[in-house]
Amino acid sequence: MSSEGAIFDLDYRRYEGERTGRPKIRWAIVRDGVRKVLGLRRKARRKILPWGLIILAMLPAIAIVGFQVFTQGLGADELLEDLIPSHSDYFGVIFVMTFLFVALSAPELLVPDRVSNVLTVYASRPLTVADYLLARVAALLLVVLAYTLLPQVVIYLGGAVLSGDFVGHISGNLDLLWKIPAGAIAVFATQAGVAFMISAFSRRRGAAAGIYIGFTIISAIVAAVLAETVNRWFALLDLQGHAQILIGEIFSDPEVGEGSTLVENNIPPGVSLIAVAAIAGLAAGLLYRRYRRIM
Amino acid sequence: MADPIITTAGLNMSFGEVQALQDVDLEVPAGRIGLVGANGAGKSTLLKILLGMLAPSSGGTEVYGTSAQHHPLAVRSRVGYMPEGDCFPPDQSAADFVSYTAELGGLPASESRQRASEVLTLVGLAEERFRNLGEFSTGMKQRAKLAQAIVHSPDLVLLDEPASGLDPDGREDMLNLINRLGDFGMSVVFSSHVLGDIERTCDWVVMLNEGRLLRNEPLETIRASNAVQVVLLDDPTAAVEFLRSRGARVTVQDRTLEIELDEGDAFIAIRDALAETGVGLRSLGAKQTTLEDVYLAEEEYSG
Repeated sequence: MSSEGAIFDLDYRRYEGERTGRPKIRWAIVRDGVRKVLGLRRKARRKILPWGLIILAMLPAIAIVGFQVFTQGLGADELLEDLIPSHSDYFGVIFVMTFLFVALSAPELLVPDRVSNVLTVYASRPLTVADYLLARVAALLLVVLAYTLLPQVVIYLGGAVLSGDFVGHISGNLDLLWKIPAGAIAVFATQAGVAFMISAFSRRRGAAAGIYIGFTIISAIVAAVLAETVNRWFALLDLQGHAQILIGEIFSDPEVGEGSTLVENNIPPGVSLIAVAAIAGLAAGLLYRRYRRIM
Repeated sequence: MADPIITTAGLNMSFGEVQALQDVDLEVPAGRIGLVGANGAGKSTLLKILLGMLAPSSGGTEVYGTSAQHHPLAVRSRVGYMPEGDCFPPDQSAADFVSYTAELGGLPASESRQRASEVLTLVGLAEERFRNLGEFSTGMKQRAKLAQAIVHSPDLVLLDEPASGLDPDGREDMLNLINRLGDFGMSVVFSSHVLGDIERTCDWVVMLNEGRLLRNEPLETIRASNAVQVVLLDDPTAAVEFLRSRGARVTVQDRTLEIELDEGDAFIAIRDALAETGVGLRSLGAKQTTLEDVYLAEEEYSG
């Protein structure tokens, strides 16, 4: 065996390979956003809140499947069916958790880049303001979809396995394969716009989350008071109510959203959909305008 | 001049009442270019306009023949930028961040990690690359900023005050790194208000003052001088009179004279003056012009 060693000069070498285009660059920003929100490649304390909320959202689903396993064969299927939350009900079960998840995630995606001046680096790379913002929105959409879908998938597959006829259960509930994601998108659409808009102007993540939570709660109270005392259309200010109305419409389940200001004031789901689209459009416009000035 | 890599024509930029750049016409070749000027001279503004990050009030710029105003993304795909201030997420490791910026520069994800590691080693952060950027010292941050500027192999790197805030050793290391960038086939625009740093690293100088272009030429042209410097032992009055009678321009400071002669040899004129007046000579030589001399003279002239 030769005992001769070699010293390699690890000098700079130019990258001569092919360059990726903007779609790949956008995808890199999406992946970075997902890692930020979930605290991946960050210190342990940055993982506590997101993963705590994920576990909280999963626990009821696991409990439901466990309950079904435990009660299987008791011969009280019809009685138990009423006790077990449906897929549309489950959006309600984790509604507050989803709301908090969005409240914490949106600032994480926008505030540090702006406050730490990382936007300068983005601005010096071959991408546009719209690329950056779209990728950040896509990152939030991905994590919110995963957050709301995972427990639903557990219930869906759990039900299929426990039914004793896996294929039959799946084929009999094919409509859920679009209804569940559509419900998750409705939740995202009603919450993300305002959360991003507040995050675009805040210098602290915690403050942005707090302002968003406060704004949403106050808007619901104001909507209820003004709808009752001034005009029923003020019910449209109940931001969270829109998600419930839309989920009820998607699942054809009128019980969802019962008691909300929007339902009590007979606001049609179509109007709710237009209101959500308008809020999202307004938020997108303001966000773009804001970032055009600072990036 | 070889094909210019940077061209500006009638460039003007104002921020409200403040005129940051005034009628800047430039043609700059590849190489190591020093962008010199006092704070507020318009250096950072010019760099941002070259990247298409700022739109000029009037005029235009081209980088490698591509308009930075009309095709900023095409320009940015060939240019790296090191901003003056911090630009880091403090909770991310240097390796993660530089790798990410490589992807933002158009490198595939599979290549970015390896490139980040190599470039961080090059800038002297091999040991620290897994530490969070928020824990870095000023010198380490400057190196990490340089790493993110070059990780995607740009043809041109714009460095905005890369040595600011560094101690003497850190400054030395940074200047050596900048010198090496040229060896790696990258052109460098290095903005600084420290003229000595530019003299040590650059072969072309763009000098700005209050937004106006003072000089745009090779460093050696700027440093070239016809003046002769003489230090005398005695009262220089008689020698100065003799030289002026021969048509020389003479600047006197104590017993030091700077002599320029449009026609004829200044050395022979000085020899004659000393022989005629009997004044003793301490030293004699061609005057070394520094960037500081030029900058101060230009500032005085334009001010």
